[in-house]
Amino acid sequence: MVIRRGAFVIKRMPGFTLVALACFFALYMPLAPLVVYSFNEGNNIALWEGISLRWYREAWDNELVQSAAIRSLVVATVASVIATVLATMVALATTRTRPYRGQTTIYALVNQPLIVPEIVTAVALLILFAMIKQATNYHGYAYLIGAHTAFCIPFAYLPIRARLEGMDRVLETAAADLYATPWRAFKRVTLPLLLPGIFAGAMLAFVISLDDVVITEFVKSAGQDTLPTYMLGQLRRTITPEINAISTVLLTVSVIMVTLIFFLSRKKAT
Amino acid sequence: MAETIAIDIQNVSKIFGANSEQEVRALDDVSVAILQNEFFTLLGPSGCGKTTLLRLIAGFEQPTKGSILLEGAEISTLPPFERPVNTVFQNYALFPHMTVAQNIGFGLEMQDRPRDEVTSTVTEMLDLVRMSALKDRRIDQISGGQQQRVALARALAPRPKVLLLDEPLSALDLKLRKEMQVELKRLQSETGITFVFVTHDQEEALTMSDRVAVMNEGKILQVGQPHEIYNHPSDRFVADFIGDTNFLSAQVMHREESYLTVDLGNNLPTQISARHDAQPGQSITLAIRPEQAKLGQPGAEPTLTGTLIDCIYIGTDTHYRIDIGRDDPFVVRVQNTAGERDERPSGTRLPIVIDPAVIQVLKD
Amino acid sequence: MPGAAGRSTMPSGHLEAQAYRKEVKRNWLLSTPALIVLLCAASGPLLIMVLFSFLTPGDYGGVKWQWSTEAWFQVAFYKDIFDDTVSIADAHLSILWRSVRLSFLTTLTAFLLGFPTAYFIATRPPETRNIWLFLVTIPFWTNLLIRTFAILEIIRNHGVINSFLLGIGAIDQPLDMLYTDVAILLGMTYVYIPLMILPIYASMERFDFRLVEAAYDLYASRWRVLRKIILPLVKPGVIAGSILVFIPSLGAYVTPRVLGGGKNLMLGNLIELQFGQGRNWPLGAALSLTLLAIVMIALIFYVRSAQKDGGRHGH
Repeated sequence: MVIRRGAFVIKRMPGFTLVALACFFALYMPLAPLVVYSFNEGNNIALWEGISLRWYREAWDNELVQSAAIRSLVVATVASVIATVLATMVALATTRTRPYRGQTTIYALVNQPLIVPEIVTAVALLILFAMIKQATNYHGYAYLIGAHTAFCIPFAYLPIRARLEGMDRVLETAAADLYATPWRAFKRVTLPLLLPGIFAGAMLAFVISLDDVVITEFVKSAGQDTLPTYMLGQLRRTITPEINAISTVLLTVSVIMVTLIFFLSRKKAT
Repeated sequence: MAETIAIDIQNVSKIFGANSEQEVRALDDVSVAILQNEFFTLLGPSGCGKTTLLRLIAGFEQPTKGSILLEGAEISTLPPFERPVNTVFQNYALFPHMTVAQNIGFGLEMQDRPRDEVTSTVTEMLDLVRMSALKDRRIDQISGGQQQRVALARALAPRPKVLLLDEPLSALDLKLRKEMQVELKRLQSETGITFVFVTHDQEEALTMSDRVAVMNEGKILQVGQPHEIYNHPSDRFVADFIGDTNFLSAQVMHREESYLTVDLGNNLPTQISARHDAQPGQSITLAIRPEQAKLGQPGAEPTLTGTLIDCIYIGTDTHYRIDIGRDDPFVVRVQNTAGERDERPSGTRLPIVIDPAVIQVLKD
Repeated sequence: MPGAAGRSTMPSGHLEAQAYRKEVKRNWLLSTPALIVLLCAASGPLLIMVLFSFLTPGDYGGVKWQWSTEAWFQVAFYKDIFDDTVSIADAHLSILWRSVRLSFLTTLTAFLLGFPTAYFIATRPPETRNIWLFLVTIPFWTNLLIRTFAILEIIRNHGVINSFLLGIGAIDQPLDMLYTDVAILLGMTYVYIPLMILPIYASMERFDFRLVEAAYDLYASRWRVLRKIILPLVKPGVIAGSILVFIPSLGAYVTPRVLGGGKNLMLGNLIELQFGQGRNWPLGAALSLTLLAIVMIALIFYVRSAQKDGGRHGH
């Protein structure tokens, strides 16, 4: 009979696995009641009154929610599309190119929204737009879209740049050798190969815009709520499971998009 | 009768990082004329500048100094897509998102040729490189050798004036390489297009080329037909790089207009036919190919004598390494016609006979 | 960062210079639209904010175009309106102190929880590693507000914990967990911990565990191995993670607003106040710039230590 002692595992640190698993649990656990209670018939989190889609229906019928949702989607779509186009252009200008003066400045400016705390940007924009509003009396959506586009650019830029860096320049050289002008080489060779990166960047920008609270809260004019700012407002008043319902929907959208981005980034650039 | 010049390289220099500490002279005042319809090879070790020169001809880089003329017209100011010159890249650079047929047709499409012309030329090219069955395959579905042929077809399809090949066979295994060497030669003579071929493999260069330019450290050392380069290398590097060579330093005893009398170290005067401006008493370097030296027969007057170090049997030949009192052994290569191995022991004294006609005097 | 090519390509010949100039021009043209947007809606406004910090607050919000350094004075000091005595602005400084303290504690908590987690992921077999990473990434991309709300739902008086404890009879009255510093700490840790885990994991992934084997071979205890071998070599990741948690925590706005109520203000809330009830836009601008300055200092510290470590460990 052989007595086996616990083997000494090199990589094991006492307690670490426990803490890690607790951490994973803690990351997801709070979301569970949130989602579960969105299906609660009743109003009270303490009282489970049966499964129902009541709150989803109420959110769906709520005009404020409707307009906030549409506004969120419109702003996110427009901002992410513009940001992706602009980010693609900057990525082409700062990657796989001979070093030139000002390149680091461009890089810094593009990534600046990632470094500056959101509240600082929000305040700065509030001040600027207030001045413009006073001068021009324009209260439309350009402010919101402009602000979102700006902070979406670095989020679109990073995956596009990463993908571009993985592409060998010899392909464009071969295209030029075969009589393709720079524009045609871009259209027929660079762009098709860059597409997964562009999609990842666009979706990232979309998610970021959809989720934004702080900047939108400061920059919006009255009645220009997006879904997150609507929810923020509701949190100050009475909290009904309507918020749970909206949150669950947003969570699902985010998860789907992140999963898609995850799979797109795994496709290797040949 | 002057042949037409396809590409004229005139005093071209390419300097990377000029005026900084890391200045690299990739090409140093290089001039050469490549003729129409010839298979011209740039041969040299890595870093010698051969690929740089090719890239300058293609238009991927610009010369720091000098001009490049194509059929008499200056092209160094033109971008690559305006030069009727195409390249076969070392790693093929096939477009991964296109099929074989689409790759081959790419250049024609960029030239805005009509659709049916593109299709028929592509079919023609596929036949030429024998890839017709695979025309709709994607690039990652074909083998390395097949990719190489697609790259070739892609570059030939637009009927360029000059085809540039950047070590296209280096990734292939030996058997395939030999096959492709024959293929390329055949294609060149069939199409009549000027081929400029870059390689570091001197055997390849000698087999395939009409003329070879040997390069080292950014300069062209010698240009000539393969047998010229082989038999009459102009300097030490060329002699050493191409084939095997015995180098001998010798003292000049006497100098005439068209020949020198030298002392090979045994105080016997040997007369060599060469124009050289070395003075009596000076030392010069001689080059002798191992297969052009012979083992002396008893009774014949030897040019040199030495002791045998060892015999190396290589199937077709035997290499005799003989110590003649210098730093390096003198190698004599003898074809094994007898069929029997030479069993002479080391230490045997052997006479070496060298016909003065095969002795090359090298530039210093 | 954009790196130089293997050899310098600053041209000397005429044609080379021409080609280079064309390339640079093309790069600038491509960058311009993005730069315009960014300058107008990201960088430019910061300059305007500097300007505003030197103006006078307007009567109903906004500003009066009158030069004044009053706002900067008010960041740290308070002048009694009756007897003109100058004293330290306790309210502001206590808020600043709470922000720094809570950010630091958040970073520490995130590290204590996140380090073992990163270690755990890095020691999984390669096939499953990506799944664990994916599981960490998902919460990271969900809405900040939703995650804060989830915490709210748990700790508030009618929330999960209280309902459960009341339900099983463990307590008579609901526990007051909301609207405390602890609530904010909990919320921020929950929200930012993925930002600590991911950089540490990145460093950990490149860590050579054979060094650990060697250390054990030389009689080191587990604790010693952790302290003397593992920690120093994954330090870049730890520092990156700390910065990534500390900076957003400093500028947090949503989490302290939802979980701290109106009493436990952090810097972000104080700033917002100036644009709402406080009606002191210049002060709000000055406070924002103060926050930005602290962030910049933290970043410089990070870059310095990253460079130092990069040289030492040859990253």
